[in-house]
Order: sequence, then C-alpha cells, then structure tokens
Amino acid sequence: MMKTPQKSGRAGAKVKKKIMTRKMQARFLLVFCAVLLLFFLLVIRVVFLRQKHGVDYTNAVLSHQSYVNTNIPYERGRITDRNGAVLAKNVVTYNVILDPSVVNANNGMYVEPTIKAITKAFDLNASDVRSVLTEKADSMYYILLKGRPYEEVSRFKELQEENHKLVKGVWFETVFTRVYPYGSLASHVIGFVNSDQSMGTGIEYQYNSYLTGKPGRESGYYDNELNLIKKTWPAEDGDTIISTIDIAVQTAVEKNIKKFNEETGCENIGVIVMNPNNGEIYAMASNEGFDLNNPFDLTGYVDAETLLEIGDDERTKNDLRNRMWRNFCMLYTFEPGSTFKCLTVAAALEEGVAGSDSKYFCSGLAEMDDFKIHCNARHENVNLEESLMYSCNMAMIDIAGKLGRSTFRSYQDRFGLGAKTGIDLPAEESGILIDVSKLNEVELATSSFGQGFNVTMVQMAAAYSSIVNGGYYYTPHVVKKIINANGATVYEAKNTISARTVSKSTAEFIRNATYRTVEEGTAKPAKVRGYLVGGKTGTAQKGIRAEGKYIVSFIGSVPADNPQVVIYVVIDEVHSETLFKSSRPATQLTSDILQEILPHLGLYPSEGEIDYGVDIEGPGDEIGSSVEEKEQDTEH
Amino acid sequence: MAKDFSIKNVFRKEDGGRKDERIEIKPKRYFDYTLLFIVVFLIVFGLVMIYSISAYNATKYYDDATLFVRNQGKYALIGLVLMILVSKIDYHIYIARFGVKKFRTNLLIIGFVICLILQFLVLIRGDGTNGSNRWFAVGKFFKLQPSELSKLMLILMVAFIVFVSPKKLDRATGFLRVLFFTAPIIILVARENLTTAAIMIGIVFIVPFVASRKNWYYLVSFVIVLAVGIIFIKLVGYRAARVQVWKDIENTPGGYQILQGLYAIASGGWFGKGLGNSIQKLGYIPEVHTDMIFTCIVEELGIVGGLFLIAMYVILLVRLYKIAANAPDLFGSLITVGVFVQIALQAILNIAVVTNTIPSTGIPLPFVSYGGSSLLFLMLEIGLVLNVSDQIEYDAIF
Repeated sequence: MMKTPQKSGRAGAKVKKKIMTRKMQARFLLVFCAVLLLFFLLVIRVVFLRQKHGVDYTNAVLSHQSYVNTNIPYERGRITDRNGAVLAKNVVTYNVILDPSVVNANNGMYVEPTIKAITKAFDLNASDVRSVLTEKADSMYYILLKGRPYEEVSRFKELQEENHKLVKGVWFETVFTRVYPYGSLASHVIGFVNSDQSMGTGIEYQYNSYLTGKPGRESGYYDNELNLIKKTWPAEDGDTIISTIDIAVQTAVEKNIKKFNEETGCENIGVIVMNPNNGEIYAMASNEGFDLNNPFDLTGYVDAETLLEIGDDERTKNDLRNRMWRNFCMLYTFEPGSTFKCLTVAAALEEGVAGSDSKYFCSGLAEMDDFKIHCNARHENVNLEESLMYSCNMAMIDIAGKLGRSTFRSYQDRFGLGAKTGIDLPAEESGILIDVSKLNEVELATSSFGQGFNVTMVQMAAAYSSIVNGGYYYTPHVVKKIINANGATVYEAKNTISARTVSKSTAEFIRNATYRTVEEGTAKPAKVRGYLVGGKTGTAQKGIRAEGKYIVSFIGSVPADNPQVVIYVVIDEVHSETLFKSSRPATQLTSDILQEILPHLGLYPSEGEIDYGVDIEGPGDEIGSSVEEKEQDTEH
Repeated sequence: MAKDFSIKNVFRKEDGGRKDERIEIKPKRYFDYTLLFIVVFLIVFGLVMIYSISAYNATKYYDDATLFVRNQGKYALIGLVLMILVSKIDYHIYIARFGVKKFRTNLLIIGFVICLILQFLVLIRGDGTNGSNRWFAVGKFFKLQPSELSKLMLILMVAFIVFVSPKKLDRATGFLRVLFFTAPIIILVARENLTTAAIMIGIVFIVPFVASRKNWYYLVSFVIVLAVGIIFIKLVGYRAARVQVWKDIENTPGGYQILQGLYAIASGGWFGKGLGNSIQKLGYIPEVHTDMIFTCIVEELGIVGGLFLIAMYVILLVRLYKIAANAPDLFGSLITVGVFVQIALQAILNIAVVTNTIPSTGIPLPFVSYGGSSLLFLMLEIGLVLNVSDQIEYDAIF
C-alpha cells in the first residue's frame, strides 16, 4: 500500500485502493486539458493551412503530378551524296548515368558491387567512380560516361543481371552520335555543327533546321488507382539531305590534290567540279580539311611539334581551327587572271564590239600613263578566237576599251562577280571589284585580262558555266533534295535559271574557242584522251607584284561542244622554281582529275575523229606555230 | 514506509494481512483492453500508412515495395510479444530490493546505470547513421536507439523517486532532488539528440508537477528552462538557422522538406485524395514515412483523417488518465503519467513541426511513424501501463 499513512488510516485499506490523491488527479487533469488544448490548436492550424494556402499548395502539388518526363531523342537527318552513299549518319550510343543517392543507400552495401560491375564493363577507374560517389553523394543524376557503344552497355547489363540485388543506381540514356563514314572527305561541304548549334560550317550548319528533328517526350503520372499512366509523343527525326556531291568525284579530286601536293606542292589549291546545266556541285575540295568525326581536333592540321608548342592557348587554337574550317573555294578571293578573258570576250560579242572576224594587233607591250603592260608574247595579228587561244592581253585591252568602263563593269555584275553567288553553304565571300568610277584606262586594261579585282572560285565557276551552257546562270548549290522521315520530299533545289548572261551564239563561240585553246592553244596539257575538253588557263600575279607570286588556274568544260561538267582548278603559289608561273600544273592536274571522274559521271571516251557538231569558224588552220609551242602565258 | 520494497513486503502490505480472504473471494482484475485495442489499432493504422506512403520510394530505391512495412511489422510483432510479456510482469519487481546487506539495490537502478553507460558509449562510438551517433546495432537485424531506452528508464526513475517520498516535493529541494538524479542521463542524451532530451525534460517536470502540491517553483524553473532554451538556440548555429526557416518557410532554401509537407497537408482537403493517392509521397517529401508521415496521412485521408488520428491519441490519453487515476499505488500512477507525457508531447511536437507551427526538429509520431526503436519502446511502456491497469481492482474504477 503506497498511500500516505494518514489516508490509509482514515479510509481503511479496503475501501479505497486509489493512491493518487484527488489533488494529484486534478493536477493531472490540468495537464490533460493543456494537452487537449494543444491538440485543438494544432487542428485549428491544419484547418488554417487548408483555408489560407489550399489553392496555392494544391496547385504546387498538381505541378508535381506528371512526374515522369523523359525526353526521347530524335535522330538527326542523314546526309547522302547524289547517289545515296551515306556521308553523315547516326549510331545509337548510350550515356551512362550514375545515381549516387541510390548506390550509397542501405549503408553503402551497393557501393562495391556496383563499382566492380562498372569498372568491368566500362573503361573507368574504380577510384574515379568512388570519388563521384563521395563528392556527389546526394546527387541523383550524374553523367558518368558519354556515347558508349551497345556492347559495353550489354556487358554491364549482364553483370547487373547476375547480381541484381547489389548492383544498383546505374542506368542508361540512349543518345545518337553523329558518324561520318568517310572521315575528312568533303569536310568543308558536309561541315559540322557544335552541340549548342551556335557554330559550324557546311551543310550541317546551313541545313541545321532540316537536319534537326523534334525530340519526343514520354510523360507519366499516377492516376487514382496508383497506376502509372504513360503518354508518349514520339520523336520526329530530322530530314535526310541528298547533296549534289558525288562521292567518287570528290574522292578522285581529293586524291589528285594530295598527289599534286606530295609531288610538287603549293600554298593552296582548290578544285570545283560542277554541272554547268543546273548549278549542282559534284565536288568541292581544297588541300585543307578536317576530320568530320572530330572537327575540333587540330592534330591532322598542324604537326605535333606546333601543337605541343601551342599547348593550352585556346586563342591560338581557335584561330587555327577557324583556318582549318575555312572553305578555300568560297572564302579565298584572288585575281582570276586569264580565265577571265572568256568573260571579256563574251561581253564583247554580246555588245557587238567584237565579232568572230575581229582582228587585233599585239605588239607585246602596251604603254598607258606610266604603266607598261606586257603580253606573254608578241602575237602580231590575232583574231578574236586566237586572242583566247594564246591568251593575248593586248586584244583584251582593245576589247575592254571598246566596251567602255560602265559596260565592262555591268558585265562583271551580270556574271555574278562582286556579289555572293548564293551557294547554299555558310560564309561566302563576295570578292572585290573596282568601282566603275575608278575604272580608268589602266584599271580597265588590267581588268580585261582578270587582274586588279578579286573573285572567289565559286563565282568564276558559276559564271563560266553560264557562258558554256548557252547563257543560263544557275545558282551553284550543294543540296539536291531534302526528304523527311516519311519519305516525302520537303525541298528540291530549283534548277531554275537565275539570270541570262549571254546569247546562244556567244556561248557557241566561246565553246569553240575554249576547245581550240585546249587542242591547240595554251591549255594543251588539259587534254584528256578520248574527250573533247574546252577551257582556259590563267596565270595571275598575286599581291605585291615585285614578290613574283603567282596563282595559276584552269577552267574548263567537258564535252566542249555540249558541256556536262565544268571543272575549275586554282593553284596558289606552285612550289616549283621552273613551273611557278606556268599554268601547266593546273592543266595537268585538271587532266588527271578529268580522266578519273568523267566515266563516273556517265561520260565515256569516244574514239577517232571528234565531231562536236559545230562549225568551227575563224582561222583554225592559221595558228602561229611559234606561239603554239609556248605554254607560258604570263601577263604584266 | 517505503523503505522495504521487496516483493514479499509489498504484497504483504497491500494485502493488509487479509491474505486468506482474498484467496477466497477472487478480486475482479481490470485489464485495459480499450488501451490495448487503441494501441494495436494505431500500429496497424501506421503500418497501412507506411505501406501506402513508402511503397513508391521503396520500389524506386530498393526494388522492394514492402521493405519498410515489413521492417516495421517485424518490430511491431516483437513489440507486441514484449508488450504482452511486460504487461504480465508485476511492475513492482523493478523496484523490489535484493542483494546482500550493504549492497541492496533494485532492477530499476541497475537498468538506469546500464542505460547511462550505453548512452555514454553511444557518444564515444556508434555506427553513425544520419550523421549523429544515435544507434547501437544489436545483432544483425536490429538497430536500437539507446535514447529510446533512456526515456523509458527516465519515466520509471522519476516515478520511483517521487514515489519514495512524495511529500518532499512540497519543497523546492524535493524537485531539485529529482533533477539531481535525472540530470546526468538527460545531459548525455542532449549531447546527441536534443529533441529527445526536451521530451525527457518534459517528463521530469510534469510528473513531479502532478504529484506535487506546490506550484511556485515550477513557474520559476519553467522560466529558467525557457531562458536556457532560447540562449541555446541562439548559440547553436543550426538551431538558429531552423528558426529562420520556420519564420519564412516559402523562401528559405532549408525549408524544402517542411514546405513540401505543407503542400501535402493543404492539398488534401477535408476528406483527402484517398488512401494511396498522395502525390507528395512520390519523392517530393524526403523521409516521408518517418517524421513527416502525418502530412501524407492528411493528404490521403484529409483533415478528417488527421482529426481522427488526433482523436485516437486523445482516447489513448484518456485511457492513460483513467489508469493513472485508479492505479493501485502512486508508483503505477506516476509511471502512467510519464508514459502519458511522453506520448502526448511526441504527438504534439510532431504535428506542430510538420504544420510549421514550431521550428523543425526530428521527432516521430508515436506508434505511426516508421522507426523500430521508437515503436518497440513505446510498446514496452504500454506493456508497463497495461500491467498497472491489470492490478486495478475492478470496483475501484467506478
């Protein structure tokens, strides 16, 4: 009995067993009431929360409802050549995602087995994984590896299967990795685009909006029965781009450029092969390029020593990269030289200031103001055709003088010089022409044979094409067609004529003249057995005249009577003491390339006497034998 | 009196020498089945809610939807067995003296000393879950929090000290005596878990308060404790930060868990989204099945559901009040008051925290929150109370 002695004495043992006095009970009741009051206040608090924040907080919760929200990657459009050979495609790879919060769960019992499986399947150090697990312990999403192939992933999945209770917190994201099967081939045309699509070149950049698809989305939420309701919006893959590039032609061109550089060498070299009848570019190449699969890598562009010297200097590296990515055929401007004479003659024929029977006298030297302009030889009497065949500067000066500066200048515009051609590649140069007001006697004279103003290769190739095809100017382009994922054509390059440049008769005259230039004139090495090759050489002084640096070139068409292919070869500073101002390297290279590419383009050699279906006018038989032997055509 | 607590003596006194009569007329024993029922109900309710709320995360992280509910169920079953066992052991055994002449002691004192040692050891070493060293691994499957044992021991100890001489509480020194004996364990607990220590302080204050006949020194000491508490909060960095979070829950980064809990409470409405339909449990409230479980109960079962749960606690407390008021001796009464205080304080503090009524602190909802140690020791306490109720003679209740 634990009651107080008084109480037990008063009440007796049996009557009252209670030992907690009434006073204590009252105090306990007080405590109890306080507890009740607190509970009551808490209920009020809960109701208050509901009344005050019910709407806001319910909305906040509802925004959580679609809790699964995964992006489904789209596949970037492929790029093929004109015959369907794949130039750029995608392979499925996997990003390895680590969820350290899961791996570290349960007192870290998953850590070692998971690390073991990861290091077995992937090329990773256990210590690296461990440091991620400790440093990002609370993270739920850490990209451990990017772009791993399926084999490694399946190897990991097997390991996980074996030990599924302990290997946890690793999952995979499917990603597409861009692959260029031909490496650096046509790198300037195909180009690249960086991940945030802010920088790039070539088709990849220009046609990015077509190549880019729309990512799909998979969204899920729990319904009232706790079932996961999933909704999928499939990804829309990018469009496939069929380019005008012919991979065989491009390969042959790049191979010959490489061969030339190995045998002779030069500063720069550019080649364009195109279809003059619609502006499609079959091949566009230079001696430079980059690995499309790794466009930021400089190792192939500069030698290892230089690279070591640069080290981490990002600015120098970026400068080098910008140079590496530069498309010579579109961005390099130069004085075209004698190849421009075709344009001067065409303008003269159009304007009627010259005819096939026009005669010019070449004394080998012209004096204007304080300047002396030399011809490559003293041609004496030449007609219009011969002026092209032997590349006579004096005849051109005469013609340009007759045209007058404004007419001459208007023809430069008409041929698309001094303005961007509109080729469907990013960053095109427009060249620099001499303003009509400054086109004085000397400037006009030098301009007539292609000196004193700057053009790009694309401009010249397009302009020349428009002459030999009968006077139709087609905008040069590298994309033929774009097909969406369902196979529907969403874009087709319009082969519409963007301008008329010359008349058919003028075109015919130039075709004949250029044919004879190759057959009998300055461009003989450009001949290809079994084909009718027409064309014009060019040897232009470069920059400061005293330095004696030359750009040699050849522009030509095959077959000469009905051109299907136009080729333009430009060589900047041939590394040869004997050939540095000779057009022979250009014509020879052209011949080498044409020989390889013509059969690919469906043009087969014909044997025997050539009949090009055009009456050759002019003094075909009167070619001066003394000039014929001279292959040198320098202009001063 | 109260010098000799051997079982023999206690019984002899209780029987008042009328042993023969009591054998002939078997007294009607009162076993509080209502209490048992409510406790079992709360536990089962807790298991259902733990399953509902933890299934998503358990599947996500452990690939096992029933992981948490099975774990809790395991403790509940063991707890149930121990509870029934304890309810059959006469609670006087714990204070029955034994030993040789000069070293007479009782089980409670031995237990209390062991508890002190454990609490001390846990400070030195522990296996370090959640940063604080609050755990002791027992065998392979159990991890026990010695602080839970300390609470139980403290309840018994306070009840014992007061029971030995209730009249001493009439003077402040009597209360200081209680503080003197209990301070070491509270300080040790406070070193590693301040919230548990706060509840222990509550027990140490309220149990003597009930037994005392004076008020003034409670007022004085209450003011002192309040002052110390405020100073402590100001001094300890993370406590002060929590006050900042509490003041501006929506814009303070550290308030994420509580804010998400508030979203759950406020979005539940009067009748809730239905069992299993909580959205906030889907990874938005961290550790939702432990201290934050009340938020998802309200989200799923509504304010009405929350009210119902509070009502269950109130009924439980009413039963404890009845048992305390009718207990056969003051020791039994005070044990029951201690258990009452612990359950009431934990429930109130937990709900106050999750409704952002007070700054956040980690405290489980009694019987409902996931956590084996807490459940196990609560059930042991209920076992004690059931034994107290078992010794009430039937007629005493009415």
